[in-house]
This record gives sequence, structure tokens and C-alpha cells, in this order.
Amino acid sequence: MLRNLRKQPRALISVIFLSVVILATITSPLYTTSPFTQDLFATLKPPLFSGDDGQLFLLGTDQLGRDLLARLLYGARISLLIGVSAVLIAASIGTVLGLIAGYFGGVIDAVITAITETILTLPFIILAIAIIAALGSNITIVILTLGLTGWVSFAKLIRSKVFELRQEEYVQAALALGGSHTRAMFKHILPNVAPLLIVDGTLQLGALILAEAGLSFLGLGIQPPTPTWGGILSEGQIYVAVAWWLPTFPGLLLLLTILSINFLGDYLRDNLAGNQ
Amino acid sequence: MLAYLTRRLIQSIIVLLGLTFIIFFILNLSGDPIRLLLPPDTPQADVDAFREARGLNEPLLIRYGNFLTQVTRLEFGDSIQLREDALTLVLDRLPATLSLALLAILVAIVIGIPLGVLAAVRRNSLVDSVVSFVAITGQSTPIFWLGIMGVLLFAVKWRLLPASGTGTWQHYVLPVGTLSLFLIGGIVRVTRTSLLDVLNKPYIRTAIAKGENRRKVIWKHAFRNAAIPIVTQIGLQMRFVIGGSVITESIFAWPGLGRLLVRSVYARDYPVVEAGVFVIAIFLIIINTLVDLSYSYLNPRVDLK
Repeated sequence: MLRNLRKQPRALISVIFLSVVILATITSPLYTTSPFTQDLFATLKPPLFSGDDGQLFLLGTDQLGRDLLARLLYGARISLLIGVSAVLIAASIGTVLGLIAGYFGGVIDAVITAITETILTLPFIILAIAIIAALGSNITIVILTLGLTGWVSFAKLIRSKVFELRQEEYVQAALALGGSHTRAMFKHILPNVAPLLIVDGTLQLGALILAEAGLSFLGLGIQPPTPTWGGILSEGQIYVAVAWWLPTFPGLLLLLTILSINFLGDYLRDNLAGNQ
Repeated sequence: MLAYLTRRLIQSIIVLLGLTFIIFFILNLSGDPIRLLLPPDTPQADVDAFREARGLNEPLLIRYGNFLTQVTRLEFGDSIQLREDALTLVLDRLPATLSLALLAILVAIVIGIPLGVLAAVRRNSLVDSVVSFVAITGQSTPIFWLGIMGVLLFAVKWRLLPASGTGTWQHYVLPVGTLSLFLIGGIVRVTRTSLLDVLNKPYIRTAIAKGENRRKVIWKHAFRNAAIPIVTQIGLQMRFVIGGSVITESIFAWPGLGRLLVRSVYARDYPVVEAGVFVIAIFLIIINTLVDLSYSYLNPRVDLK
């Protein structure tokens, strides 16, 4: 599979880009100022601006003179942390419910399907609006909101696959030999839906990072001064006429990240799920 | 047909019931809704009286029952912020949202379907790669960034279009453009995939072998059969259209339902949030049913039972 990567430039570039972002995020304290340090004498400076002490602001500064690059890299931590945690929650709930619904069928399936259909009726953002209206917003609530609404796509996908798999001979054989349903589901069926889970997990990661940015953009996500990509963009919108870099770079970084994740997901689909 | 509609109606009622439960549950997550409805300095005696009057001392299940009764009577109460009937407020904003959403989806269809057909017909060509690349990029682009870049270029730099507000047809260009660019990717991808499926079918090869005009084969034989997944996708996208319009409305100060909802969240204006979520849910359920009905029109073999 890794050998294939070299033949597919899109996937290769995506992996390199994501690695660079992650590496830059981890090492950012070494070469940028703190994302919270304000300098009111150097506000809204354009990219490549050099401070008095020779400090280079590669992407310029914001309305409070903070280093935009430092803020974006700090924001990357938050976006990735939220995205990965939310995907793990969504995938766990979705997998368990999808397995149960697909395996047992009948009333249990009907109930779980009704729940997924209900949640799928509403746009994610509307559900999030309702939750955040009630609870307010902080990082835990955002992760839970994304995780507790994002599981439906996993459940739907796993359910339909398990529907096919439970008729397979090896599952029937395991049951005939006295294996329990739990064992059949988790030991025999789950490994066979794992590739599907990895592919959908990757694509969902992109979707959830985008959703978090959307919430922060609307002011419903993580609150300032904590930098998030959506939040920086939202603040930058006000200065669009005087400081083009403020809204441009966060969105560009977000776009390239999501695009890389989606390319990677497509690649995994062709090379993991496609082999089955 | 009638049996199908009845079944569909029952399903819709179940979904709506589920939604009332979710919303009721979310509302009660916050603990005591009373504190949000009254000013913070209200004396304890008044709080107790208000709680009693609103039936908030009842057990949870009974309160859910009361909530259901209110909803079926379409009584969402008055907006806390604007002191007007919440449902009226929501319905007043609906036309602005719908005109934005429907125009955007129309534009997305008019551009997306021909592009998808082109990519499928010229499979594995340069055209196909370019179209597919553009489509996946479109799907990965944050809609709010797209909108702001539109403002930056067309309103700030070239001064061609207004940056926000409503009034003239120019005001539609940026919001509709933003929202439709966001939708085109999905339509292109599903058109390409479903047309490719059909193009490999024997009856298409027969039609081509018979010497039928290629254009006619594609649009008349192939496209009609590929239409079901495309219509489904467009129906499914209505959810994203509404979600996207919430953000689009916020960027362009569009006086629609989405902006009203976001502002009501800031103000903790529950009745408006509830009424808005319900109106959107009912709208989307109607759309889903229409999509299902269109299956049988597009493909008479689909039996609606």
C-alpha cells in the first residue's frame, strides 16, 4: 500500500502537506512569538513584516498586532484536537450502533434507523445551534456536539455492510460452534468493516474540522482569545478591506488541510476498501 | 400510491416526534430553563410563581407531553428579545432564505450537471481530471471563506458588487454564487458516477452500435436512467443548502432565517430557536417526500409500496 503512494501524486502531496502542518504546529514555539502577545504599535502589518527586534512576521499581524502565523499554527492544534476527538467519539458510537442494528435487524434495527433518519433530517449546523443555545460553548461542548451528531454516517455505513456480512459462512460457523453474538459481532464482523471505518473516518475528519471552523466562524464555537481557524477568519472578515491577509490565510490553510484529508480518504478507499 | 403516502406521512410524524424529543431534551440539558427566560435579578418568589404557572414543577414526562401539545398547536410563545410571536418572526424570514437557497441550487444544477456529464463522457481524459479536481476542491472549500474571498475581490477590489444587504439583483450575486459553488462539487461528482454506471449498460452500447446520434444516446437514453441518483443527491443536498445558507446569510447580512437563528442563540431566545428548527425540519421533510415521489416519475419501475 505504501508503495502505491509514490504512484499517486495527489495522495503523496497530501501526506507531505499534512505532515508539514503537524510538524510546524508542534515546533511553532521555536520560531514564532506567542499567539497571544499583542503589540499595539504593529497592528495590521502585511505579510513579511519585520519587527523592530528583527522578528519576522511571515504572514503579517492582526488587529491587535499578534503574529498571524503563530495564531494559525496554535489554531491548528485546536482544530486537529477537536476533529480527531470528535471523529473517535462519532466512530465509536456509530460502529457499535451500526453493528447492533445490522446484526440483529428487526425492531432494534428499526429503532436505530429511525434515530439516524431523525438526526439526518436536520442540517448539522441547526442541531449545533440548538445545543449551543442551551449549553453555551467551550471546547468540550464543541467536541461532544460534533461527536454526538457525526455518528449517524458511520452507523448507516456499518449497518448496511454488517447486513451483508452476517450471512457469511465464517460468521454462521462461529455461531454454530457455540460462539456468542458479541463474539461474532466484534471478533468476526468488526475486522471486516475496519477498512470501511478507516476510509469513512478520514473523510469525516475533514467534514468535522470544517464544521468546527463553521461554528467558530459564527461565533458559536471556541471563544476568543483562543485562536481557531474559523475564529481568526471571522475576526478577519471585519478587516477585509484593509488587511486582505487576515481572512485569506486561515481559509487557505483550512482549504488545503481539508483537501489533503479528502485526497487521502479517496486514496485509502481505492487501496483499502477497494481491495475487498 | 395512497398507501405509500400514508406510510410516508406516518414516517414523517415519527421523525417529527423524534425531533420534538431531541429539542425538548436539549432544552432541559441546560438545567433550569426558567433562569434563561427571566431577568437574572428576579426575586425568588416570582421565579417560583412563574415556574408553577408554566408547569415546570411537573415530572419530566408530563412536561414533554405539555411541550408536544404546544407544538401541535404551533404555539411556540413570544420571542424573548423582540416580544413578537416567534413563529410569525420565523415565517417572515422564510422567503428570503428560500429565494437564496432555491436560486443557489438552480445555479448549481445548471452548471453542475453538464460538467458531470462532460466528465463522464470523456472519462479519464484531461477534461475529466480537471472537472473532478475542481469538484473535490469545491467540496473541501469552507463556504464562509469562499464568501469573504468573493467580497474581497468583487466588492473591495473591483467594486463591482455590493458586499452585503438586499434590494437589487446585484445583492443576490455574491450570496447565490457562494452557496452554489459550495453545492456544485457534490452534483458534479454524483452526475459523473451515476452516468458512468449507465454508460456501461448493454442497451447503451446497443444504441451506439445501431448508429444512433451520440448526443441523443447520452441525454435521452443514458441521462434519464442516471437521473434517480442525481435527484436523490439534490434532495439530500437540501440539508446542506439550508446549513450553508445559515453561514451565507451571516456573511452577507442576508435577512433570512439562518441569521435570525444565529442571533437568537446569542440572545438565548429559545422560542425563536425552537420555532425556527421546526419550520426547517418540516420544510426538509416535505422536500424528502417530494424526492421520493419523483423516483416513480423518473423510473416507473420503482414501486412506491
